[in-house]
Amino acid sequence: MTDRRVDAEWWEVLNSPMTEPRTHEVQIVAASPDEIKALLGVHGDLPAGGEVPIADGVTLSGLRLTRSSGFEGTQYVLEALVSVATSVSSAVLAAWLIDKLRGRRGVAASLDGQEVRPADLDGA
Amino acid sequence: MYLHNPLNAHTAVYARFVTARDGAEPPPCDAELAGRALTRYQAHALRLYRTRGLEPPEAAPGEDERGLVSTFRRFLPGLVEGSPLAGAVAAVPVIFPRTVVPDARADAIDGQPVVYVSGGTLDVIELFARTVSRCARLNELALPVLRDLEPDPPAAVPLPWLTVGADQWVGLRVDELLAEAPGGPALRERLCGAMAALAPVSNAGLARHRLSYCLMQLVMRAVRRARQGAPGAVFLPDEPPDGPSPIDPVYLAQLTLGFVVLHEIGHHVLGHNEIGFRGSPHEVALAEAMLGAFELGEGEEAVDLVGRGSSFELAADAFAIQVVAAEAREPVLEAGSLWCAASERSAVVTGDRVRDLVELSRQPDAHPSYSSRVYYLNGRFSTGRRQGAIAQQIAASAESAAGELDHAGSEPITAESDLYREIWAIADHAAREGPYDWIVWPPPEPDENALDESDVLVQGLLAWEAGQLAEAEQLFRSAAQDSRPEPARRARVLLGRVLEERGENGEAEVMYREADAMGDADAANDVGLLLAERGDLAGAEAAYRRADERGCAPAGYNLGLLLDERGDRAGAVEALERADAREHPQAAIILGHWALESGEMDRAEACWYRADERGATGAATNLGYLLQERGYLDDAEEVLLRAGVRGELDGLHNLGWLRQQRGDLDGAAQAYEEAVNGGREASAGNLHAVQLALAERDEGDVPFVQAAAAGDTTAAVELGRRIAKRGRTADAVRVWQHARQLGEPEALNELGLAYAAQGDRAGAEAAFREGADREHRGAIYNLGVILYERGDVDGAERQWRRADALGDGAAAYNLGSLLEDAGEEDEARLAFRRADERGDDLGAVHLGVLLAKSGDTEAAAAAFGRAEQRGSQYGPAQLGDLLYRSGDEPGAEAAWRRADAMGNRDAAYSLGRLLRRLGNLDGAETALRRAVARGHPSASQELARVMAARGHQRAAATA
Repeated sequence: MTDRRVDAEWWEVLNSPMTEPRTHEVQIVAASPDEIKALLGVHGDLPAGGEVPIADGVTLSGLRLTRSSGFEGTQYVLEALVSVATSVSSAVLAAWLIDKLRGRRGVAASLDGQEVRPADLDGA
Repeated sequence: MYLHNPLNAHTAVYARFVTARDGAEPPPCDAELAGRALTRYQAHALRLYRTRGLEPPEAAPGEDERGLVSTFRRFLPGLVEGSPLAGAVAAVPVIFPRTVVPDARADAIDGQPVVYVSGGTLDVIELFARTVSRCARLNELALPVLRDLEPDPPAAVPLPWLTVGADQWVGLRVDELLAEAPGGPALRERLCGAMAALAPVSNAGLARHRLSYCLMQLVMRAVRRARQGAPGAVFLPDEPPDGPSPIDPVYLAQLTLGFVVLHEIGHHVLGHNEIGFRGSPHEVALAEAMLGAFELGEGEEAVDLVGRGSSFELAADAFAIQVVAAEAREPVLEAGSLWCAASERSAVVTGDRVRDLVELSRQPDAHPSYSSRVYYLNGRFSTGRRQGAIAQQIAASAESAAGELDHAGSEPITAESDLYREIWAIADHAAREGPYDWIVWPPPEPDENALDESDVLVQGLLAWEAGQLAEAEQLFRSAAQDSRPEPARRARVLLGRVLEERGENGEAEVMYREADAMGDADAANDVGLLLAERGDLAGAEAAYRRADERGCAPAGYNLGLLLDERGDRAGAVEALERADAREHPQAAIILGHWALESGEMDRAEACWYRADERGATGAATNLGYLLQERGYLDDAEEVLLRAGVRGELDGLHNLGWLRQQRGDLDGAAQAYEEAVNGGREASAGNLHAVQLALAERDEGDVPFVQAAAAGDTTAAVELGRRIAKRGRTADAVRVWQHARQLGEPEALNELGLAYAAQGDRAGAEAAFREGADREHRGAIYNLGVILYERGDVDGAERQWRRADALGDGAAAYNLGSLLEDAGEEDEARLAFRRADERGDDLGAVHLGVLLAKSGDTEAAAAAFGRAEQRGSQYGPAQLGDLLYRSGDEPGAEAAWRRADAMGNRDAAYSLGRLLRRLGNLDGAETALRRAVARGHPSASQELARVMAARGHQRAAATA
């Protein structure tokens, strides 16, 4: 079961001061594009260089999806800039990503080079 | 015996490696690009670590700078020197992030291709290379012993592959070793325990082979656990192996890393990393055509067994082999294949090669099992020395290698690395030639006199053996009064036997009955025998049944015979089957006879195989007879030879008959003579007939001798052939030398062949060259073979092209193999077609394989059919595979049966597996036993499954 409670990490992010820049770099790594799209809640393609709204006031832009073949299986890396509307706290973006990552053991994400990760993973 | 070791140090590639190893520092990498690449890799590492439950590095990793890396940077250009794609390889930076999870990856930074090989992979490669090197040394020393233990040693042995997979000589379960984790003397005894009956050199050979197997299994386990993220899974031996080895570990590590890096570069070059890429238009069209060629039923999915159009991993593997310099191809193929074999089941797909390909069909970027990769590579590049049995053995070894580890689970044992190091230290001693002080000899067998003589039962047995029946009787009577039930019961049985021997059956019966009442199985059987003797069949039956229920094998046998005598054949069969399952030798013989009576040939053969295995008198004779009747002539001859060794005179006679039928008159005469000398007078007539035929044959030489003496060189050549067929090679050579002096080019070819067979390569080359100068087609072809064998591929190709132009089938075939090796498939196909048109059986086989690959199954089947007509066992074997892949199981079965009858071990194995699946356990058992007898590496395991399914658990455990 997914634990939907607001955990300490999320709470901390929600209450962090709003001094972050309004655009962030996001990087999502998964075994398939479908897993990335499922995480972002996107239907259809991830258009190269294009924009995709992913939540109220939050849009991904400059999308770049690359495929990397490897010994440990194929990995897909989505790199994008995240534009956050002024009405939306950047902390909400991090919290939103953390929530989306819950229960997805095969997906890793980072925001501005820092790993974003739920405090605990259900089913782990 | 020919040793196949492409990793030897006498090649141009090894010389390049030495230059690289001893060379100056390579030019530094673009530091800015390396920094960006390592930052980028952090994203990959994040997921790799998290999916294994590990903490990823907090910052971008630094680069691994071990010696393996710096040497590799110097070695890589030499490895691809001369390749048209050398520039493409050089354009891809290779970065070595210092991260622990094994990974190798083709990636891009802003469109710039880059390859990563993690430090975890380098660790595993070094462990792998050092271990394979050490194991090659152990097996090199063990080889003469292993060869002597084989009744029919193979003509060629792929030395590095003796390390991979188990065989009958290993006698060790690594899963049990891991579970028990013995140390010190217990571990040494387990690995180096000697058999008293064998000489020190033989025990040393077996122990070395066992050590090699054990080390490699631990490496495979380490690879598997490292990829699962187990901390401390990889452990490097402290010191590099000392002492000589046929494989330099540093060189092997370089070749392996080369294979890994070039595989990843292959992904770039072949476009695999483009989003949405499903293969080049040509590949997609090919794959679709192949998949569309099958008529599929509902719910079925086509299987692209070739994989070429549908698997990026297989394509990248092939790229890694094709892109290297021609002379490096076989070493890189060997290193890459061994690496893949060592990685088998480290990433489990389904664990079954065929099922993997089913499940992965239409998923080009999914990873097939590693055994599939070995199978594909060695099929794809099986040319020259590698073709045929060696490529097949390599693929089969990879397939069987990892199965044994599945029992071990993945949990680490305490101090697993210590266990490895301790075994490594033992192997250090074993890797040196004698003395054999590391062998652990068993304690001396207890002498019979050392029995506990205070035991009254023992005293009674000793007296009985000395013929002192009265004293034995007295002692057993005394022991029968023992208050302990077990000695009292056994004493009654022994007393009964002494009494019976003295003719006192009545008293004996009393003793047996008392022991029977105490639950003794043998006593119940003895009661049954006495009752049967005096005609009380009902009483005997009841007694036998009691003994049978208590697990007495002879009782089941006796019961079976009794029931049969009373007309209850069904009951008799059931009883004998129980005795057979308890390893009763004669029960299996009788069952075989009854099966033959009712026309159940498979069942009869299976029964007699089992009886033969148990050493039952007459079993080998029966089995040999049946195998001959069924057309398995090579198998029959081997079994009948065994019958002869056991002194079975009927078997010797049958051996003579078989050889006579096969035209081997000398061999037939020898067998008949042995039978007559052994006392089988009825063989004298046959011996006489064969001797007459031999005299007639020798008389047939007379016209040739006369013509040769008169200067007829053609007659001289033919005379030499007739003499050589009888094994008189030296006489034949003299005749051909005479013809050579008279200027006969055919004699030069024959002389070259004779010299080559004697190991005189220089003499053979001189003879072939002289024949080639006179435009003798066969000599030109054979000169090519000699040049190829010494590594001069270009020279060989020139000669084969000459012979091909003169219409030589074998030359066209060899040329086709070279062209296929070089990736020129269209040209290769034309060459195979020419070979086929000229009647070459292998040409037809390979043409068929290429036709099957391109989807033209009808033409492929026709080609395999032609090969079969020309006597090639590979024709029906390949046809069986083709039909099986297309879903035609009855057709596949029929083709495999024909190949099996021609002695093909793979077909026997495939047939056995198919029959097991179809529930025909008799057929499966016989086919698998033939595959085992022919040396198929996986057949024993499969046979064990069949035996287990039949309830023969003890036989299954030892199969």
